Amino acid sequence: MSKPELAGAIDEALVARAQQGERIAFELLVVKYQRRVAATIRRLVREDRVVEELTQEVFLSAFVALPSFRPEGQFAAWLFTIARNAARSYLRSAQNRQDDHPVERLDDEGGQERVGVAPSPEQEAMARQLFERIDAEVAALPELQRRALLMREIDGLDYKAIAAALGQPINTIKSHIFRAREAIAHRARPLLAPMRDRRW
Amino acid sequence: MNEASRLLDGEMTAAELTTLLERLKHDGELRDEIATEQLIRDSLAGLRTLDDGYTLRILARLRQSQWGGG
Repeated sequence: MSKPELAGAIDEALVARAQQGERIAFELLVVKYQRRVAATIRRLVREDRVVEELTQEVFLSAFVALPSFRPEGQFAAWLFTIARNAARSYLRSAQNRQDDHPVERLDDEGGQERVGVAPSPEQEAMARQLFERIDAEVAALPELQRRALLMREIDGLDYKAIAAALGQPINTIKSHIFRAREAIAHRARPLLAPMRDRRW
Repeated sequence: MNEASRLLDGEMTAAELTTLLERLKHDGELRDEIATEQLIRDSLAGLRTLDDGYTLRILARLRQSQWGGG
């Protein structure tokens, strides 16, 4: 069996496909990075619906600028730079508006309808329930599976580094992490089912 | 490993990626599998938000603004 050609370079492959006009490749990048882009913006902007609107604008800007993105660059770092710039630009505009009209709220654009949506109390309750279930499932994992998974997802280590740290063959580590993710997904899916038609 | 894990880890060949991208255009279950896998990964990394229409609204905005009629 040949070595996977894309190992460690899936973003580059997806960007290249998107640059060739494959929209589905860019959709995958949206799925992969939308939470991290939103989190980057949320460090500077508090309002949920503004965060969502700016997240949309970041992906629009990235898509427009995609032809000029250089393959040797890191897509994620480039995307997060766009996100930080969008948030700072929003804050500057909001501050200017507040200086001109001190009674307006920071997220008020003079009645213009915003496209971001703040989560409802029901959505927040569902999220809480889901993430509590994920935490419980992680806690219930066998020790080696849990350690390998957390080294991968929290510490961001690659499989080789995890294998070395835990003294296990790399394929064993891959298998442990895959089984851990499967166990969590199995428990999470019933809670996610009601929102299926609102996901990608 | 399932396809979602292999995709998100880049553990596939360029030819497999081509096939998978083509399937993704029509296979809602595969899209959901990938979205769920990414949600779990993000959750473990501390990014705890649902995708309650979030991705679809981003894609709708892209379609309106840049992707034309497709």
